[in-house]
Amino acid sequence: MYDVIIIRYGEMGLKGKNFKKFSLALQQDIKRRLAGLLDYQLDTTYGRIFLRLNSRLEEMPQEAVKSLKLLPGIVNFSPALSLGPAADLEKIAGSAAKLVARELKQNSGTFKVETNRANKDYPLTSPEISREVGGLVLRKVNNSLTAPQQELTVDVHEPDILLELDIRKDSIYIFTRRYQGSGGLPLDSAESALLLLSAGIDSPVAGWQMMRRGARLNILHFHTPPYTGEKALEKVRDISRRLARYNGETRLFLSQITKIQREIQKHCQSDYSITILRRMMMRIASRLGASKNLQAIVTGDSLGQVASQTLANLRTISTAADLPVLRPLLTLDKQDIISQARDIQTYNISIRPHQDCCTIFIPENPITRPYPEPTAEIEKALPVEELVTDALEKIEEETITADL
Amino acid sequence: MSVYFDHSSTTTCLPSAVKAVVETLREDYGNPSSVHKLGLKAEKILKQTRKTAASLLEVEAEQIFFTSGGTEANNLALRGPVKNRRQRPLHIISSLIEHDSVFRTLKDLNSKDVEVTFLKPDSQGIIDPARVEQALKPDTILVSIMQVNNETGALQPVEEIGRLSKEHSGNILFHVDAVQGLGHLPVAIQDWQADLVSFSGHKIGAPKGTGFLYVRKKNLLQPIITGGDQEKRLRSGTENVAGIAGLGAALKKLPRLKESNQPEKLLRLKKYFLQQLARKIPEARVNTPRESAPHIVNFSLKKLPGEVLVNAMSSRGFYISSGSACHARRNIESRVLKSMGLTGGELQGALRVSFGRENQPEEVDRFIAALREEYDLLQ
Repeated sequence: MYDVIIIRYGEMGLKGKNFKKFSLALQQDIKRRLAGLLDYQLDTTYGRIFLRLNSRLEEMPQEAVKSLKLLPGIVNFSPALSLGPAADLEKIAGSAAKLVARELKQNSGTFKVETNRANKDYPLTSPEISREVGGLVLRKVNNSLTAPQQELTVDVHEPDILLELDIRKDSIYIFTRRYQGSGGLPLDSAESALLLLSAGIDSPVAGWQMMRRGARLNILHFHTPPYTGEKALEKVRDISRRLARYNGETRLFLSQITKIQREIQKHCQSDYSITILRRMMMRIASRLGASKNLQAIVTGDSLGQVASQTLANLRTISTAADLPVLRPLLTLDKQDIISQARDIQTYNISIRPHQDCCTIFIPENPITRPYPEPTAEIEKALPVEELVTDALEKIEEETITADL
Repeated sequence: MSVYFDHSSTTTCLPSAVKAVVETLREDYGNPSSVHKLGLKAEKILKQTRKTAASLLEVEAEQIFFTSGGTEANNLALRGPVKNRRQRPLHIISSLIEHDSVFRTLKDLNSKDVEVTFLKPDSQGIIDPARVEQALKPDTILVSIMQVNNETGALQPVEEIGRLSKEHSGNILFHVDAVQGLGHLPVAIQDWQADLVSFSGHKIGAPKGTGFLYVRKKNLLQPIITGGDQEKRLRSGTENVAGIAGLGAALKKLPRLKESNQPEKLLRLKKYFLQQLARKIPEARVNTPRESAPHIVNFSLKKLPGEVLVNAMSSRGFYISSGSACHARRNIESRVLKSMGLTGGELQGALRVSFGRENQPEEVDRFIAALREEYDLLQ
């Protein structure tokens, strides 16, 4: 059946001088993600990447589909049949009928043919090809149907099956499926960033959004032993392993902030405690990030989702950071975040019941409008520099590999 | 050196049990159902363990049915009779302090036709036999009460509950979950008038994945696992021969306990622990009643969630549980302690220590000192 997979990329095609760099990054990532899943030769022509399969496939392996759907830089892809550039209509229709009959499966259905003729040497025009091949396919498929209630008909407005013919100089490609990719830009086409990962639902999605735009991630997780245990840490590792599918081998930094939490609890007004803790996290993240040549901090904040995610809070927290704080989920609703978390398969790990931060440190009424000045004033009770330096010294680093 | 005070969760596999497992895996790999010589050898191992168990419990070997552990034994003991009786509606009596493998199984069986009464314990965590008596109805077919509660160690009056149930009707079956009792207290099946008694291997130094159910008469139950008719049709599936060899080895090491012969060493250790706890950590509220197993102490430290102290102690090499192991994982309040009337900090700050035969008083000293330090540091 299929002998080639056509991969279409989006806006990186618009990159002028840098196109080659982006294209190579995408090819690298495709090779990494498909390793062991498909046997193919990769070949590029302007505007497309072709994976020429070393042996024909009856069906795309599910794992390969999943990998390509979540591979940054790919807009969509199609498993296809290829014929020589001079193949006649009869031959094209023969192959096309096989694909269409398969899509028809059990019930009756409608179809339409669309032709894209890049090879102007082909003797017929696009509309002519569509019409002729459409007629031949209709006859061939209906002749081959055995069940009496089955029938293939034509519907040019809302067809069930869209048969596409791509007439190119090198080959003619025939396909009926376009799998949506994630779009974005290939991994590594941007610089690296530091993701602040909790064990919750949001931050892995924020990380994914950055990777989707080509940034590679380092991950920083804050934990509070003994208030949080080894099992909560393993949950964070599991989420990181999942993200490493997209990110490749990933550095995970673990920072203990028990001491900082206790100092805040002792010295600061309780309604400011979350804001101040987050400011401390920003200081640690900025210093760590700068030392590892990371260009930004990424968080899973979504505007107004919880008390510490008001604009005033986000502002006051950001002012403590030296690196820019990027919040890709800022305007997303929780349901959209959950749906993306399911797509990247971190959701089921995130909802495992382990506290990521002990509830005894959470104040009854966190302040929703903590402006920078009063916050800084309250913060003066803390030995900020000493606590940050101490936390940085105690950071542990682990190397996380993908869980596949 | 680390200190393991979590024997109610599981025990280390005894060296003799390990040896028995490995030898069986290497030498006696036959299927007990096979007719050839290797099959016979494997069957002999089952026979031996069955005999060891039966003689320890003073019952007949054919009354022992191997399962994959305590949970399966409890499932068989509860689902088996319900399946066996045509009578509908029917009624079952149990309690709020049972292990999840009993509690949730009964919740699952509970339906229009199967009514289950879950009795509340008193503030000591003990089921009052009078309550069982009050709950008995004409259509009651089964009473299921554990011997020793796994979280508090509270000893249940199973003998009296058995007597009252049988007085009510000779047709009532009495099931006892003796998973925490075996090896720590006399298991007097005849005195209890029990028809069904569950046991687990990994609580007594045998490997995980082993256990058995005492069944007074095989026709009281229908199987819940069907297949090749192993275990006289009551539990299909090729027997875990190596595990059962290990179970046999562990059972051989158990003391033959009687009212007059209690495990003195464990009793002394528990007494010492309670003394030291009262002296060094007077804030602790002990949730274990006087009438309790020799190996379990449950207490609450109000100001911190139990899990926090479990984590803190774990990082210093002391292994204990909060509430019970399963609760620690699911991070919910203990149903058992809640049913005893505990609330707030006492409920959330519950810890369980459980001793084994290898533990020493010196370990108690180190543990209490470390706990004192962590509690002061953290609160």
